[in-house]
Amino acid sequence: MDRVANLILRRLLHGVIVVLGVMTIVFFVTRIIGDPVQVMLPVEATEAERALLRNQLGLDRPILEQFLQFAGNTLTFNFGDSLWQRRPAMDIVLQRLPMTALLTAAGIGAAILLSIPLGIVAALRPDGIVDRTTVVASLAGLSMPQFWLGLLLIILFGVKLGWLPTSGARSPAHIILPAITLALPSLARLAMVVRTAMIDEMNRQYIKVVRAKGLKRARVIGVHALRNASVPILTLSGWEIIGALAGNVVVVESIFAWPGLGLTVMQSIERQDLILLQAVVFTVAVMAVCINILIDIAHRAIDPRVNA
Amino acid sequence: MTAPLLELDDLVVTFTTRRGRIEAVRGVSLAVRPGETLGIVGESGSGKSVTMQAVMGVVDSPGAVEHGDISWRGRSLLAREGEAADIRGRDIAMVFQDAMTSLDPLFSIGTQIGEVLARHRGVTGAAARARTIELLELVGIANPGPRLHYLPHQFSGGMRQRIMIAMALAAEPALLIADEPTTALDVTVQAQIVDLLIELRDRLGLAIVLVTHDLGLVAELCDRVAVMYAGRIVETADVWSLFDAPAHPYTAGLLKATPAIDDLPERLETIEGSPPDPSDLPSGCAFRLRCPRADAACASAPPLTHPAAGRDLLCWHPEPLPIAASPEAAHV
Amino acid sequence: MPTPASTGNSPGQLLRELLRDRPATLSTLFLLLLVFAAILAPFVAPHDPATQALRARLEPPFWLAGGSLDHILGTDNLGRDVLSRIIYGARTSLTVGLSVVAIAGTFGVTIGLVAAYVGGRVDSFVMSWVDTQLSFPDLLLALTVLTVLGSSPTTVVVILSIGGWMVFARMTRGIVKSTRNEGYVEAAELVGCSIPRIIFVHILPNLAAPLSTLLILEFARIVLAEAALSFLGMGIQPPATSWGLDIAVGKDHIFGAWWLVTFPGAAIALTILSANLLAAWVRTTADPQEREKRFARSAAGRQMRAARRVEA
Repeated sequence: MDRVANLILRRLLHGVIVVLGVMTIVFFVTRIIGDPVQVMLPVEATEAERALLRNQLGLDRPILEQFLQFAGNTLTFNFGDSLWQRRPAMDIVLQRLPMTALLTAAGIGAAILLSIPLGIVAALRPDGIVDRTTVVASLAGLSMPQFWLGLLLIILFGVKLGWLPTSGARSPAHIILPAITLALPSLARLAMVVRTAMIDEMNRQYIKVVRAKGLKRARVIGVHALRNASVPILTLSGWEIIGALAGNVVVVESIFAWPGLGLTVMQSIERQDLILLQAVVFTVAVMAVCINILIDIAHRAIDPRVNA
Repeated sequence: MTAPLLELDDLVVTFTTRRGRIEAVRGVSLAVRPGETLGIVGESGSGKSVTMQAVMGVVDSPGAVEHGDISWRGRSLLAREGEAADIRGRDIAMVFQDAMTSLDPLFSIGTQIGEVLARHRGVTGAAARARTIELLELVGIANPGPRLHYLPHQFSGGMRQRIMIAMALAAEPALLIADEPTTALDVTVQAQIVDLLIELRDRLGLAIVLVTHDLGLVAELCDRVAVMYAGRIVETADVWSLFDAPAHPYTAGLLKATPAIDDLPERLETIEGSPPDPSDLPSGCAFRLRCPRADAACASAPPLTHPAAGRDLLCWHPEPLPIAASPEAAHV
Repeated sequence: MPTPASTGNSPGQLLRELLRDRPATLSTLFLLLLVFAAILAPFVAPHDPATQALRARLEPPFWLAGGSLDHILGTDNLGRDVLSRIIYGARTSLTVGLSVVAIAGTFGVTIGLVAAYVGGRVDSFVMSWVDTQLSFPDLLLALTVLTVLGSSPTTVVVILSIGGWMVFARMTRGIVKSTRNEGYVEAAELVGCSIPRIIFVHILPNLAAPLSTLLILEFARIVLAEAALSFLGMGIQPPATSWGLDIAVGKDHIFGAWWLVTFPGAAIALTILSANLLAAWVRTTADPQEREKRFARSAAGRQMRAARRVEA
């Protein structure tokens, strides 16, 4: 237990460094390479207005002082008021976050749950019908741009068939299309990885031994092979969740007007609201770190050989 | 004679590869009787391991049993999949060559032995734990109780092979197949494992099939020997008559190439040439291109003969048998 | 032992093997077609991609009522020819994809070589940097940076390169580390071959096959990323053309003009699919074991099909 606590502590420390690193990049890109005032104010803004905003944001102070201030604000989750909504940016983020969490859970959750049986069945008969279908469908899924897939689903189920709502989040049915759009590319990648990992494991010597012990096929596959295959599956699952949060939801939410963090990103970009954008980047970085830690812990639970 | 436990009848196992169809096992027939220890010897690639994997039903694609039958106490294992799964692991158990990779790395040894008990004997919980401890003691693992939770990588190679043997013995099999059980181990550990096998055989009345290329091991352990070459059994005999008077030139070559401790020759003889390419075997006797006694007749398949009691032979020109061997060549 | 010889097939042999694999052949043909279309765009494209024809707005593809052969795949909301825009869009996708892969690949391979050769602290620092950057996908950061810097093709290429070098570094390091332990490299070091000679003659050839696979896969990933950025309005800006940009335009007309979204998207999907199939073929061909399996599978397939024919 001590070891696990130690591990979590070290990972948390590493996580804080990663988040600070991400925020440092954001800081320097916005303050040094770019000029936030120029980005945030309209072109026709007067020099007085610019000076006022510069003063409000503390941009007239020395860069080191600005950075320390920024780092301090980051560590206290305080990014200041959103320019667009005139209230604390963190409030807006926390208000939008549950919708993104819901969409990600539905989409990536479904992808993970479907990919495992699909990949296993495909792996059991390499080149059987299920396998060929899975491989071809996965390749197709991998090759389609996510935004295009979403638009095709809108054309098919929204426009031509009129079965499902395509915009907003007013009813439970509204989540179906965005969740499918978010899920399909992940499902394709996951199914391929499950399949490959299972084929690898099924060819190992210990599987031969377990089979020679006369164990039921379900136990050979579902317990021995699957547990050994689950390290890469787990790693990719974590990566898919982070990938969704740190990018794919931006695309999916903006197509389906799903009111989560991703839509917030696009809205703050449109309104040149760097403060809100920073708050979102920060939140996502924190979530990515947490998910990485969870994956690490799960990894150790699956493979007890890995020690801290 | 008692009825055999295991019988192979004209077993053929093939692999489909880029270079063509390869027959790894080309019509092997043999029988193992209760309590007997049969050695199967041959160079690597002679098909001895594949034969035993076929018995355990673990030949993997692109390999497949193409012809012949495997039966246990007179009942075919190939015809009845479900019944075969009950027999494998319970009545026939196998110890594999490489103990380092033969255990599932993620499960404790207690779990891996326990699952055999649960599957074949319906023993679980405290009873299974007690039986597992007993088995580990039987194979000479000291202080097994606390080590049930250990993972395979926490044991040395020799210990793992002991654990493999304990696992194989868990369901009290009548036949133990040991596929090169000592090759991956240190010499001193090898001797310990051999002693363990002898002790277990005597104590439990096990029949053993020992697959090996080590003739010394055969001499120490076996009652009968089958010599395999290029997918066929070329000679079978009881161990002492085979060692005293090998009939097949290949067997004779193997023996000459093996040093005896008490009579170390100045130079070991070797068998000329190298094992044939399994995808491109010579016609007739596969050994003929390396055989000092071969002639034109060897280009056609040699018949199965019984030059002496208990001896089977596939050869046109066997070495002469010295002791009153009336070659009552019975063609089959 | 993965000696250079194991991948050293003659070009003719490789071509013959490629032609035997139908998906890989078709993929190669499609990618070649794309390259030619991109290079020869002014001669192949039926119209100028930027010419607006307000009278011919939102014309459907030619096989639908109201369509004409003049605009085979229809026109967009400004009357621009969809097919011509796709052909010109190929230029953008290929340019961005190839530049990023060239920059990120060169940088990543160099860093990987250095990490593997210098070892020690440099190695562990580089690798933890790689791991850290890999653990945080870059789309959101890319969007942020592009918001501040404004987007141009150059910034897009730079940002995607910064986010893409790590996989190359990791792969190079892994392969160099393992080949350095091979007997023939150790022997070369013992007899005193110079480090550049060892790297170029003994180590880099082992990198060829996995590196080509990775280059193709990364190319596919970058084409997708550029399309996504352009779709979100943060990548290539009008009046330049990009498939992602065209789809963004089509999105506003999704209820009436499905072809605006469908065709540029299909162009992206086919490009990515071809790249994936080609990468899979390269990987299989470079690995003798995989090659064996591929043969066994096709042989088994042939046998099964033959058996079915006999039964039928």
